[in-house]
Amino acid sequence: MRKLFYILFSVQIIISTVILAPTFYRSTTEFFNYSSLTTKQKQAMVYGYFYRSMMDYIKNIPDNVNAVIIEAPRQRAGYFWILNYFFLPRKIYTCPKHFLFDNNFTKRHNIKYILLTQEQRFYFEKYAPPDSNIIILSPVKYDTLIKPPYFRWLPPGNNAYALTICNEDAEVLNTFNDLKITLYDQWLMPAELWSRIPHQEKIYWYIQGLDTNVTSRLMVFYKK
Amino acid sequence: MIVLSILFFFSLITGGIFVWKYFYKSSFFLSQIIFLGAYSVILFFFMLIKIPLTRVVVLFPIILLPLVLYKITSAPWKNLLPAKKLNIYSFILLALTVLILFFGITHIMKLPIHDRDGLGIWLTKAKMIALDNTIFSENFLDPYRIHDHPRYPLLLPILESAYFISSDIDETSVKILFIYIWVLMLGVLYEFTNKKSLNAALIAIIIFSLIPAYYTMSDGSLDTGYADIPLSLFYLGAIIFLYNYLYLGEKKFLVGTGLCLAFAIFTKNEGGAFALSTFIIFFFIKKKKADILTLALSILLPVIPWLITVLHLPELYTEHYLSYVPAFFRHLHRVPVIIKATFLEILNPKHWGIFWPLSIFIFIYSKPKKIDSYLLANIGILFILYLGIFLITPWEVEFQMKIVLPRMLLHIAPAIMFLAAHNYSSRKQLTNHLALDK
Repeated sequence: MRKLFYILFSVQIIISTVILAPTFYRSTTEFFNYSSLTTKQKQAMVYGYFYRSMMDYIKNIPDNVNAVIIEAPRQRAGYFWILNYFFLPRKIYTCPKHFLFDNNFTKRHNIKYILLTQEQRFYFEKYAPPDSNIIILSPVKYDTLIKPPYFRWLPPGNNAYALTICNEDAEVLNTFNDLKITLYDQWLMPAELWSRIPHQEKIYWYIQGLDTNVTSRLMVFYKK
Repeated sequence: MIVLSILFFFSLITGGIFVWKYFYKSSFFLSQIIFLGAYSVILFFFMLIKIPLTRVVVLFPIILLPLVLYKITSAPWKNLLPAKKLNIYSFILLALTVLILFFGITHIMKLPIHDRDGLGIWLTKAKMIALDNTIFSENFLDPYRIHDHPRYPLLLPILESAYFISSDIDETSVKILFIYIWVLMLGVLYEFTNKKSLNAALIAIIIFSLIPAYYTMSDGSLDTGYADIPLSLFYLGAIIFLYNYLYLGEKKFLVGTGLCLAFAIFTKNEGGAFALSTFIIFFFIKKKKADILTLALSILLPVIPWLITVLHLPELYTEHYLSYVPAFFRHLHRVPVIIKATFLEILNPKHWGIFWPLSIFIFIYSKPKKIDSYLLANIGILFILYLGIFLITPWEVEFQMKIVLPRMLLHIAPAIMFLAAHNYSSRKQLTNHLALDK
């Protein structure tokens, strides 16, 4: 019986060794190769392990960006948490609020679509360079409103702007695309649109240049 | 930075030696395990009482050095030395062990932590703590920050952040923590099996350290930076302490069991299942009420602050996993699927070789004694609790089992290895002569 055990131990060791040999070979090679790479090569190698397409979108975010706002429901596991890892201490916010990820989540929210169109959904909150800053006058952030908001902002130049609002269910409305209007420095939300917003709803909004590449900070207000 | 990194591990080992010298004289590695968990819990207490985690604070175990050096004695080292004279086989096995350790270390250290959860959960949190010196900051408390699993237990992030604070934020060198944990796991197996025979201990280490799942599994293996490996360590510690308590009846081992279970709860939510399975077994053993109370207190006291704190952290999920429990009976039709998938997994040579059939064969052949039966039943109950998860999950059960089941087996494999090695080496003896102080 003792011999049988020794045979079984040997079988276990041999099977494991055979299975692990390629892994150990690869690991040892990587271990010795990695230290000889340049910083850029190291980054590329590590990035290569996950979500290359995501990294393509975010790797060019300039250094003066201190926060990233992702307009998407809270993520499927992993896809966005990783951003925090790369951008800390910069801030990454999601907009709108998260959803429960369950079996029907991908069907309900078409998660694939959301992930593939991140390029259109990134907005950068910047350290206010003087020529591209849009100063928001009203409504102030986190304001609770009882009547239609009167959006006012100080544009950096005489350019055309669009205003985007979205609720926590990722329903987005853009004044230029959806209402076919061009804004300059103010907009009063129509009463009909206001009435469609449920009470206690959290609404995100920002201003974006139509002919210039400027974007305001992401703002939030609540309907009482 | 290398000096500070060495200082960090020196402080951890110093703390472990302190526990060894003053509390668990007969087990060096178990003491290290206890201190590793206690260190993380103490740093959490510091954050609770608003002491920012600075370099001086995280290196606090060094103040224990005078106590460690006071009346130093070599007596406790005897457990680590070979029980008998070395022979040629011992040298071959030793060389093989060193070789495997070398490959294991290169595997762990080959790249910075780059896996999804390793980065997204544990390392991100560690980085947050290292930057803010506390968890009570905007990073943790703003629900609109991308910060998934904000309520996840913090043992590993605290350990990683302590490393970052004491040296520097470095995603590669922080993996030395996993080498440390791995060595503790192998060390504790060695320490206990060595009491019978050095060769048996080395064979046990070789078999265990060659289990492919620890290297090849995409979720939770040694190089990923996941919390599964520390969790396995604390479960192994809990089982060994429990064995010694059942064998010797000394309360300090029961406290050790409780502390290991507490640290497991502080490592990952699965730790709760560990504690539950231990309690179930305890009720069967019918130990004194005072013992049950001791176990309960030693589990709860270290983690109560965390369990209260967690209620004040943002909750990102509107539905808790346990809210699916009512679906249990509706999902009973999944039982054949679960059994089949479990059967296929334990026979999966790519993950385990023949580790599980071999262990089962050893248990059948050696006819476990009473104490071993209790411990096996403990692991069995834990495994059943684990499988119960698949009866309530709202997700596709086969897909989830494919991802989760190997990790569950990873948690219990070291404890099974300990029991298998123990049973094999004491199969022809009247008593289970493997306890700490005998």
